[in-house]
Amino acid sequence: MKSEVFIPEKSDIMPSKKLFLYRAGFKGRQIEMDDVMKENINSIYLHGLRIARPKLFYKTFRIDEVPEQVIPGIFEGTKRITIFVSTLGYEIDEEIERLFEEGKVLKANLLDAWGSEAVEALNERFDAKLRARNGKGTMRFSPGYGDVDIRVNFDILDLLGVVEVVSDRKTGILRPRKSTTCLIGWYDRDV
Amino acid sequence: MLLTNTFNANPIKLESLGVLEYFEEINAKGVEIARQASKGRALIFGDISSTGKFLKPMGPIDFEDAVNAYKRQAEVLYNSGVDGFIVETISDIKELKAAVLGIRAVTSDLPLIAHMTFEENSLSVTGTSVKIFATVFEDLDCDVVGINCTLGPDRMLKVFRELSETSTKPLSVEPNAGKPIYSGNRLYYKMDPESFAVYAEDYVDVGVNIIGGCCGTSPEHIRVLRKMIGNRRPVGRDTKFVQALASRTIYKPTNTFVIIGERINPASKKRFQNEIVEGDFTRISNLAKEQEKEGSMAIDINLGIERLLNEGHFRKVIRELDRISSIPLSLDIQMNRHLEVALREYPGRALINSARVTPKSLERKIELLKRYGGMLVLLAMGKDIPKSSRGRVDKILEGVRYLEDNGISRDRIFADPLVLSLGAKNDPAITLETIKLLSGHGIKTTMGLSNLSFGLPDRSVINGAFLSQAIGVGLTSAIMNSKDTFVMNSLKGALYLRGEGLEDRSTIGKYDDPLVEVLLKGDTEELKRLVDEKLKEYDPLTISQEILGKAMEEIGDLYSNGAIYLPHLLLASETSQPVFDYLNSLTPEKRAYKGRVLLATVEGDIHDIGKKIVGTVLKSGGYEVIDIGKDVPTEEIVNAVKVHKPDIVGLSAMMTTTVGKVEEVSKSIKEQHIKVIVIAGGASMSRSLSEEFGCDGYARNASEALELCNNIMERIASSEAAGSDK
Repeated sequence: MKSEVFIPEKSDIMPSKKLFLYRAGFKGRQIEMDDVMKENINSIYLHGLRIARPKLFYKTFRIDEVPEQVIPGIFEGTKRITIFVSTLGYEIDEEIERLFEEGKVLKANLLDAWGSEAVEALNERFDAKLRARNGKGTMRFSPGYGDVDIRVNFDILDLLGVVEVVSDRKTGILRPRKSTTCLIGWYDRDV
Repeated sequence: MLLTNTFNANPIKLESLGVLEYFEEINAKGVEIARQASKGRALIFGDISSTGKFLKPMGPIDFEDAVNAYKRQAEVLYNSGVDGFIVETISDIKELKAAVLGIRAVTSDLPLIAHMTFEENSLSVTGTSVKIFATVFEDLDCDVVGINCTLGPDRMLKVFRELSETSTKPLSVEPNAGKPIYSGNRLYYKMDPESFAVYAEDYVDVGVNIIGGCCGTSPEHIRVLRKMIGNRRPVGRDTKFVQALASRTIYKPTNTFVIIGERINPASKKRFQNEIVEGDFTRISNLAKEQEKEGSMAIDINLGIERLLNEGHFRKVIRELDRISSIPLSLDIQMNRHLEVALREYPGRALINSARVTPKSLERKIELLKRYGGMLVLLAMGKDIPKSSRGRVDKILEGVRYLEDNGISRDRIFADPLVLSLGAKNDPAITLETIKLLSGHGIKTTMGLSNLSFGLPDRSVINGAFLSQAIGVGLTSAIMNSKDTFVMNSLKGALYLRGEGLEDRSTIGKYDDPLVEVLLKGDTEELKRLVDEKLKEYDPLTISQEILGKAMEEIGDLYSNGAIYLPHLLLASETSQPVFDYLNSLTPEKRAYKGRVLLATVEGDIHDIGKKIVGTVLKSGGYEVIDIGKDVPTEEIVNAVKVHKPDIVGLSAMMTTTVGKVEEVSKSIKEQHIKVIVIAGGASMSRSLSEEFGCDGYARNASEALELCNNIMERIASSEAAGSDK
């Protein structure tokens, strides 16, 4: 059975400005910026929000339906796993590329940072939605961290039957670039 | 915080709408409805706004009538149980002052928020700047100042930041949902909740304490706004309030020398006195304008003959001077009841001239300063004038302490050391010594300069010479004849010797090098203009390497020291790039470049943003950069190195699954004995890994990459020089 699809609201992919700026390189506590910089930041935030085509594919499996290499060690004791794939679509990638081509390095960097945080905001939103429904679960986990190899991304996409996001079997890199795969384990059998 | 639906429910507005009979009911019901809607989860603030008519001299409403109208509305709201008041969407600062005084006549216990509305140029439609609003309301009895309406959150931000940089009070803001759009006879706003809320954190960053929405915003706008704010708390502000005098439209900081024009004084001028008594203030208006043109920054208003005048005279003269947009006023008014009328009517921040150091005089002035704001001239005398400078200084210190104990800070005071007539054998050295000693105590000083030469010939020469001496020992202001060009020139010369001018010192740029300033602002056109200026004096190569190159180096240092961040570095780099290209096009040889760098992201890896950033920073650091892209197979990289013959090859790898390719490229280059320096970077690289892979260098970020390349090129240059010596 194919995965289900969640189409988020715009406000679901709005990252905190603070996190976005941190990702873009503003690492200090007191950030001073002039109007030019503020204008760049806000116009890119809104531009990203305008062009992103966010989508999220998800499915909940019994633990024995999931290939072993996909399951993190810390999921021990869980009965079911929700796996989801989130993406902002190819438009953001293409826009970052175009901005670089035009020499707009600052804007390209800002959009790249925005995209990374926007997909995280989407994950957070969906994570909260799942937990409200499913009760106690593990932390949200993504391949490439801990004991799960990033190359299992290929298997995850296959398992969910997702074609909108693709992965290179050798490197685990996802396309569109602003995409993630996430897993949450549930202790309750009835999820 | 929930506002009552009583925005238009002041008696003057309701009367104009023909529904004055419902005045009390509308206001009381407004509170009741808000209270019900809040279900105990919000504070209820009584919402108050404009009467819809301007106050005199701009409109028909008397100031005191406006105060009374606001007092009546505040009374009903207060008796209905509001938790506080907000006055919003006011474009006339005098009306806002009337509202504050009206509300405070009802209660001084409840919190009060005072808002003005501004255009994008930071001016209200009546010409008041944000700075003036902040300055005038710094002293008045309101708890929060803010801005609402007219602009959307994007365009209001800059205006609001001026407020946060000027006012030390807590701040609130309510932008509109973008610009209003007129369609047929309907006005609507089209900024969606998400676009509106994107700016929320920007306001938190500049210190907002309360945020909401004005025209066009809906509950959905507020919901998304709340989501974006999350748990962020207001940031602390380090506002350095500049003590200033202000009229409705003119702001004069007192951190530079303040010239106060002395010529509105009818002493010994019978005709002038008669004009005043008859309420003809034409001469006063003309003198105000003349003195402004001559260079005065404030004008002293001394109507003399006060016993022959009534409240109406003072109210009218203030309105007349407001009408002609006079520079700020120094109210040289002896009778306190007249002074209070002038202070109530004045829409700016005045200098009260003056108080003696006696309890009676000080207490009354403190009361006025607290209620209406302003600054004070403090005379160095009690009942009598002390003979010695020490005695005068002690008197001033006694007065300053008394004022400070009562909440009037030292920087709101100008001490007058007293200038007495030379003709009456007074010793001017006492005045000079007093100024010097007061200056040591950090107390500003002003004086009535012309008193010195009263009754003497060559007054200009005497006054000019004495003013120079006084400035030499620290004088910060003078009440003087700005028409006297000799005295004015003496003043300029004396200030010049003190290393000052008459300009506002707060406008000096942040960075010494104007190129750095322009680069960090991203202003390519201005940069090009500055470079064209330099081209009249220097050759393109010198500008590229020694001037623009140095500015970029300084920016690199600022980044390394954490004074600026990566986005600033990128903005400066992309701003400088076309100008470097322009300079290179004017340089006949390729020697404009420091070196050639070839960049590539290794096979399998499609991440190249970091590498592109490195490329940009290297270019702006004077390098020729050849970027052969991402996901480049090893053989292709090696071939490109053979073809382009770079000095340095930079390899990037982001993923743990692709980082091994860096080793493959590095080894391949070494095995084929290609003469090139290999450096590496990227999220999965590290210094130890790069060494293990046989690379010659590693950089953590773009700035480090530039530094690394500079070191490498210096090493190459010095080894080449050593080789040619042999």
